[in-house]
Amino acid sequence: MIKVSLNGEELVVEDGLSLSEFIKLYSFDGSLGVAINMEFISKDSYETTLIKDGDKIDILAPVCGG
Amino acid sequence: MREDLLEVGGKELSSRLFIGSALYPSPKIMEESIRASKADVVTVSLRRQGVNKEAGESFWNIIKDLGVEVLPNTAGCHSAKEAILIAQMAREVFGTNWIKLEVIGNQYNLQPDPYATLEAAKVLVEDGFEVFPYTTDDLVVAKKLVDVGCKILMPWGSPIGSGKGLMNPYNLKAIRDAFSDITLVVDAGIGKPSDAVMAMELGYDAVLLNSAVALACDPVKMAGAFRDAIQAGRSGYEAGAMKQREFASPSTPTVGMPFWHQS
Repeated sequence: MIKVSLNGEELVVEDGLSLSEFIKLYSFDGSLGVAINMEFISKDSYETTLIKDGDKIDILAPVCGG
Repeated sequence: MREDLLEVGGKELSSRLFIGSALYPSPKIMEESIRASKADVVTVSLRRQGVNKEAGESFWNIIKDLGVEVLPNTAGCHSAKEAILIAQMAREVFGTNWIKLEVIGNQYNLQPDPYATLEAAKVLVEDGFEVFPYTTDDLVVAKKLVDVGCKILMPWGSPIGSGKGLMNPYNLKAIRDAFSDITLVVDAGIGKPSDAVMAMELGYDAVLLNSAVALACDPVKMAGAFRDAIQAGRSGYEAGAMKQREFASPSTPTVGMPFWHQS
């Protein structure tokens, strides 16, 4: 098991998960943007990106804005 | 009559009002207000997806159904790195290379940080973004943003959400006079339709506002008021105002005035 942070909250998850598996595991859906350790991860890299111990994962969604 | 189209970032827009999607009393009033405004451009943002995962998607579906151009912002960013990252994410999520670049330098008045804005603008322009930088009314900063490739500038009228209107029309006019080929949008601080008229009469190409409509007692009606105000201000600018004079000058003919020297 490894420790990561998701949107600022600490989590313990299984080792070896890809980003796309992680997204499914936490039921994220719809229009999403992902950054890990403040680096943008494009959609076509979700399958090949592995979640590592200590990763800080941000999953963003559309909101209203001015 | 020829339609007065505004060309921005490869798109032709029939409205010179850009409107925000935040702070409305409800999603329904937001939608009705945007429709009433006739705006072609609506600003949106990205935030961490929370517990209510449907809310973000529902909001985004309303905006998509409006058939408008979306202008994602980097609101709340305090560094060039954060703003660049949000811009990259927004490009993928919203499917546009437009970005309203906003890097805040002061928490009290939400004044943009000119150094970080410039640093991020340079990177984003090189990465193929159409950058709409939110900036102060500083002519030197404006010049530096143009030098790094910005084709649009969005100087503030006054601090975000203040509703104080155009605090420094002299500076805004100086920017207009200096950059005839750059699309200029007054962004932030607009409170009343007359503020928007003034911006358009200065020769600005468009006005971006949010709070002025969303926080009005009747947002839908106010959206229509701004739509009309911006058209009036634009027509006034195109028509060319008379020169001010330091003395009175009668408009009614003086020749043929009856009772001349009789009373």
